[in-house]
Amino acid sequence: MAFFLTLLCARFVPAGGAGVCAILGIMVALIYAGADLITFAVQPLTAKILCGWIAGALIQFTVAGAIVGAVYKTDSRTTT
Amino acid sequence: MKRFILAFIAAYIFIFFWGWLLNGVFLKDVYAQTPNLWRPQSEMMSLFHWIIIGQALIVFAFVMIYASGFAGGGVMAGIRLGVLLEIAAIGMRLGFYAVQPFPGKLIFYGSASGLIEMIIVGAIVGAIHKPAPARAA
Repeated sequence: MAFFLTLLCARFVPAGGAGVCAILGIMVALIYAGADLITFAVQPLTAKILCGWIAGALIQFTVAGAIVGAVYKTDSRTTT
Repeated sequence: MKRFILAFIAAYIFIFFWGWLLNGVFLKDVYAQTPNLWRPQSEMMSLFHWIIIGQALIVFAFVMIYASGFAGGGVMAGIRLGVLLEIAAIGMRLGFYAVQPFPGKLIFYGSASGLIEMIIVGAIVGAIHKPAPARAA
C-alpha cells in the first residue's frame, strides 16, 4: 500500500508537495472507505468497527500522503 | 463535468453488475463453504444500501483521481491507474487474510477478479473522460 501510494504521488504530483499529496491521500482513503462499507454490509461487523476503519484510513492515508509529498521530489538536475 | 458524470455512471454500472456476477454467481459456492464469516442473506439484503453507497464511493474516488492527475492519457492511463489501485487493494486483502479466517482461494479469486475489474473500470473511465479543451484567447 505504501509502494502504491508513493507511485501514485510520483505520477500525480511529480513536483511533490505535502498539501497536494495529502489531498491525494484523502481520495485514496475514500476508495478504502467504500470497500469498508461493502465489507460492513456482508460481514458481521459492528458499526463502531466500521467507523474506526474509515476514520483510521482517512488519517492514515492523509498523513502518509503528506509524508510522501514532503520527502519525494523529482530530480530536477540536468546534464549538459 | 458532463464527461465526469458520464464516466462515473458507466463505471458504476459495470462495477455493480461485475460485483453481482462475481459474488452472487461465480463465487457463490466458495462463500457457502464459510457461512460463519458472512451475515445471513436476509441481513445482507437489509444492509444492501451500504453496498450501493460503497461502490459509488469507490467509483467516485477513482474518477476524481483520474480527472485530477491522469486525464488526457486516455484508455491506457485509466488502465494504469486501475492496476495501481488494485495493487493497493491486494495489499489490503493480504492484511485481511492475516487476521480473518478467509480461505486462500477466496483471496486469490478476489485479487484476480479485482485486477480484471479495475482494468476494465480504468478503460471505461479513460475512454469517456476527456479534459476540457483549452480555450483560445
